[in-house]
Amino acid sequence: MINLLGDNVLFISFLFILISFIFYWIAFVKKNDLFVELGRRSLLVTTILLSISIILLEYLLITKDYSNLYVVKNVSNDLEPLYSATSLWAGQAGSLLLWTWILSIYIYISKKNSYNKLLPTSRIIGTFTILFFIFLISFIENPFETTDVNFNNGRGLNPILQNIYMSIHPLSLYIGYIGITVPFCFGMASIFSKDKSNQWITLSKKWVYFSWTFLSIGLLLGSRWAYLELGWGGYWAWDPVENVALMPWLLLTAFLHSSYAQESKNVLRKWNLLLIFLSFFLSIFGTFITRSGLISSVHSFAQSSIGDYFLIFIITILFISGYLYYKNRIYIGSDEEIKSLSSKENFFVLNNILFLVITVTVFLGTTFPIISEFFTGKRILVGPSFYDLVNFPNVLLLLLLMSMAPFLPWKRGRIDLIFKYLRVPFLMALGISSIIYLYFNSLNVFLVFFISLLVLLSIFKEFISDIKIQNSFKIKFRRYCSFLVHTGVVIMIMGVSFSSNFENKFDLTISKGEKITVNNLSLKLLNIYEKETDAKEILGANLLIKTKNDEFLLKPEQNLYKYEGNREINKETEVAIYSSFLMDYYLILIDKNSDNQLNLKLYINPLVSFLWLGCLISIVGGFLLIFRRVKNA
Amino acid sequence: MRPKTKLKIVAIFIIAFFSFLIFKAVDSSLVYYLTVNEVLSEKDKRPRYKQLRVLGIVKAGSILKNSDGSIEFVIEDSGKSLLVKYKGVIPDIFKDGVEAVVEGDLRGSVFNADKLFAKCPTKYEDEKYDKESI
Repeated sequence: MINLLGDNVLFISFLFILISFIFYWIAFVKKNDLFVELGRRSLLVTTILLSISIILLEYLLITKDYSNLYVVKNVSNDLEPLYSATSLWAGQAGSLLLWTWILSIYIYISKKNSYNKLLPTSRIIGTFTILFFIFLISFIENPFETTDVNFNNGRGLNPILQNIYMSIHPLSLYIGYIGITVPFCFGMASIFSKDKSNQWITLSKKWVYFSWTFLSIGLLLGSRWAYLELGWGGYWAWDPVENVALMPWLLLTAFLHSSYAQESKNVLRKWNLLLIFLSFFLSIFGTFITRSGLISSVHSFAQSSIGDYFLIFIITILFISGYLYYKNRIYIGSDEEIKSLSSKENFFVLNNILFLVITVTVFLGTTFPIISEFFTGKRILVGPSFYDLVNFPNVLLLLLLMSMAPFLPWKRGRIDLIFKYLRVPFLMALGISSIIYLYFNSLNVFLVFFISLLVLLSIFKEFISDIKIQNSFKIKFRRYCSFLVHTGVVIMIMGVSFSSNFENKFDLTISKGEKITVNNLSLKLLNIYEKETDAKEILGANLLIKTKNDEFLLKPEQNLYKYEGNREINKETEVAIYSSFLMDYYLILIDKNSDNQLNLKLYINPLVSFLWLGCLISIVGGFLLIFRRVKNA
Repeated sequence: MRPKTKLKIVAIFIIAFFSFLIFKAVDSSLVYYLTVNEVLSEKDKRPRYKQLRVLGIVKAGSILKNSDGSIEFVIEDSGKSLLVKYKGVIPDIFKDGVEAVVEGDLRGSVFNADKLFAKCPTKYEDEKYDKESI
């Protein structure tokens, strides 16, 4: 009953979005306000219908109505209500519905109050994109598909996904990903309507901050989840799925900088259009790659036939935007030109080149198996060392730019004044990082810490001198928001550099009561326990760890689910982690051998806390930027 | 020289540098991705790869646990099979019949893996699912 209703609601929403698309098209051709209004109303109806679909699907999920195939695939009787609700985005059809719904809201609320030249054209692009997605969910991957078999239980959610970070992580990424569509629509509209102003940048600004912040949250939650749940001691593996989420983030970060240059100094117009196209392309490409199964990934959670449709959509988008870009190229160039190498805008260009290089590197690494198979017939991958090798000097250069660019003026700066400004921070950073070098003896860490501290201290210097001036923080609010983001990024990079260079791993075999000493710490196995609940058998152990100045208990577990059912995965490793500010002790129980000994893996990861802390600081900075824009917009 | 020309030179320099670096990095981090069949049939012909990644199905009943936590198992693909030795964290989804990817190198007839990934092909969106009962 509800399934039928949902199916019909989706179909009607398809008709309305088609109508809306046509109305906006007529409005553009006839330059008629009436059709803009008609288009807006049809879009509103679509959004309302999609909201109803979301409510219907949520109802089915929460009441566990097993007549619906999506419910059967994603929910089970023992699943907590929270995870039943979040199952909306656990599978493909639900994710697509959610995606479409959010997109329709974004497109509807993007600049609805004032009429302007860009509106009908941006809406043509926007409604076209929604049209594609509604087509997918109502004809190809329908979330309201029913099943004739009488199921009394469903497959349920994979236990490793039953984690609070993992339940918010995809949602946050979607909110971010989809947000890129709005600036893309404005950018396309500015080419389409041959608009020479910077209006599209102004309209896009807060959307870019918004998408950037939510993508950052999504990436943070994803790596936090991997760290806590996957049990390989790390937070980032350069897996294709991680890479495709990272690429739009990298390009958006580049865009944040270069669009600021266009807004302030009217330069880099063509470049910004290109960047936003690429970001949008990569956000769709990401979905395509993870859903098509074209690149195998250890985290690919869904594969299906919608890959082909995405490919057609991507090619259409590339063709249309490429054609318009070429056809209207004389309208989109900048009148202004970069006047000096030592200017803020020039440093933004260098920043953009470096970000683009990272993106290309990640793209190449991700698609390398496809490329190599195409040319040589063999699948060849590049390992994680590929990314590390190329990105390390790149990040150093970016940090170097970061230490100077904020203090350079627009147009014509003098590089000697920057050197003068940075003299004290330079000496202090050099001093501190030299001590770190003497202590830890790693050139990589020395370089990263040296330039990172240079960035932090240069910001701190401005902060100190601003304290004396009244109201300076209010006037320079935006500047301080970006400083906050920079500070976070720098702290994160320091954490990544340190933890990856000084990670320690140990394989241990230990019997009950035995005490093992490794690397200045002692482990004592207090007891091994085996418990049984309705759902699973638990093998666990209590270990007492003593370090120089700390003592704590770790409880790693291995869960074996009784009814493997349709979850496919019946084993779950519960990592035990003790985190202090400087060190993470990360213990995994591998198994119990026939002599009643435990095989364990111990990771000692230093400064991982810097990574989480840095990300959080940046995200706070991002939120402040969003709210500032909303207030002044 | 105009600033724009100078900028172009700097940009070309940066891009050239990183292109070179990418080239070097690809060379040093190559991992060949082969199936069991390919590994065995090309064993004598091919040059020694630095790192190999082999894909196969874990043979039912072949997983053997040693007391030091290391495991041995056999992966199969189109009739050919390969013995794998591995020590490390075993992925939760690793068991009989799953598709396993091992990374390491082939010494003699035994594959020494330093990485082990496992995945269940299309397990989340199983097409035949609706036809089977639970």
